[in-house]
Amino acid sequence: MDAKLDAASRTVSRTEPLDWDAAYRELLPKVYRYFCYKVGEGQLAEDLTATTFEKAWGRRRRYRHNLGGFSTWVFTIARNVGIDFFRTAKETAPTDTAQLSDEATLSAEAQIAAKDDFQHLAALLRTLGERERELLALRYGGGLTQREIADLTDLTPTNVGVILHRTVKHLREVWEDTDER
Amino acid sequence: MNDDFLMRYQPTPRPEFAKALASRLRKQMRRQALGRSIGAALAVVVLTLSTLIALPQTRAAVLHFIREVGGMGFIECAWDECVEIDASLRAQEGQGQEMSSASLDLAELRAAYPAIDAFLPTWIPEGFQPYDGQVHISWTGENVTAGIIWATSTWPDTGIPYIGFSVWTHEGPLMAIPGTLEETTVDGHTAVIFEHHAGAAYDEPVLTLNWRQNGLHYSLAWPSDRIPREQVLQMAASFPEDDQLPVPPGLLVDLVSQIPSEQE
Repeated sequence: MDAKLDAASRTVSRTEPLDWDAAYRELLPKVYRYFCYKVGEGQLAEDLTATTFEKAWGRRRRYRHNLGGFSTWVFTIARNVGIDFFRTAKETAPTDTAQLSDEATLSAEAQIAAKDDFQHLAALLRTLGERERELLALRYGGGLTQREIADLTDLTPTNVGVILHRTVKHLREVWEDTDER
Repeated sequence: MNDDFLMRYQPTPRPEFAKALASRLRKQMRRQALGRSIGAALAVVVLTLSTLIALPQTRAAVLHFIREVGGMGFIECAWDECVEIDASLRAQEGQGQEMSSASLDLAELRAAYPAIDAFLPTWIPEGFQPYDGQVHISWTGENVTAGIIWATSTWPDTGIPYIGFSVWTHEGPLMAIPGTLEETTVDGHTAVIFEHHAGAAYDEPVLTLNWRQNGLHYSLAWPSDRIPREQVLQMAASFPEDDQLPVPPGLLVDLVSQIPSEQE
């Protein structure tokens, strides 16, 4: 999380609007990485990122400076965009979702074989549970602190820390194990 | 926590994607800014009158404010005559009332409230359509303003014309800014046309046509050098009369109650 951005957004008044260009430049890579952790790199991550920003910018007058940092507000919208996407995918095309999952697995195997670190990690992320992957996406994709993640997820900061620690430890073991093969 | 392998995973968005999205967001902001400037200009007129001028004791305070600070005057137009009065856009700031606003999907509104068509014209100039499919609503207490913007398909990139429409619930007299005021009629109803500017970002003269119909105030605003006045007057005359399509007087207030909480 960029402390300067949030500090600026908290102190800005309604008559002194946020620098939207600066906010965009700061948050775009973070939101994009968040979705990369959720759905992998590519067109889908771009689409979900675009949807998030269009919603956030369209509703920017609803942002209340006294209720939290601007980036936290944007990530609230990003999480809802992700939830809507996965819910729609399940409701409208369950077979497609299953197929997508199979394709992802096949793709992951190919990626692991290629020994590409990024693709390797993307494949490992797909093996995680929904909550673990969400927390990793917020921490390592979005760059949020444990406290900010706790605010977004209704978990305590301690719970966030414990889950992240266990998840990273697990990923690290699998990562090294597959590297040795 | 040995998370170096995660810290290395930092994919970046493609530059062409980032540039295209930034462009879309800027256009979106420009459209909203213009929509708000039109709506706010009209709503401020409404709120100023309905909350300040209508009450004798408040009116006295406003007049005092004007004398002390100076500001813009208004024309108060009853059904058949206009009388200049003192008032000011700044008076609303002095009153400290806060205006809330939201946007609702026009198609969804029509499905939920078929009577919404009573607020819409049956004729619009060729090539115009609701530019974002949204109804922009602002309100303070019981005073509600609903607005739609019609535009050609290439607006706002090319500055091609738009027509902003507002309807509001206040029961006071017609309002206008003096100096460029003209009196006219809309399908037999007394109406006023006045000129103002839509805002710093779109600093071009805008004409506003205000009239009262069906127990409500109607207003159309358009860039005066881009759309013939006759077309807007024809559009104004096409709004249904209440004997053709009854207008539920509480509909606009009902709409506000349907607006979800502002916070995500």
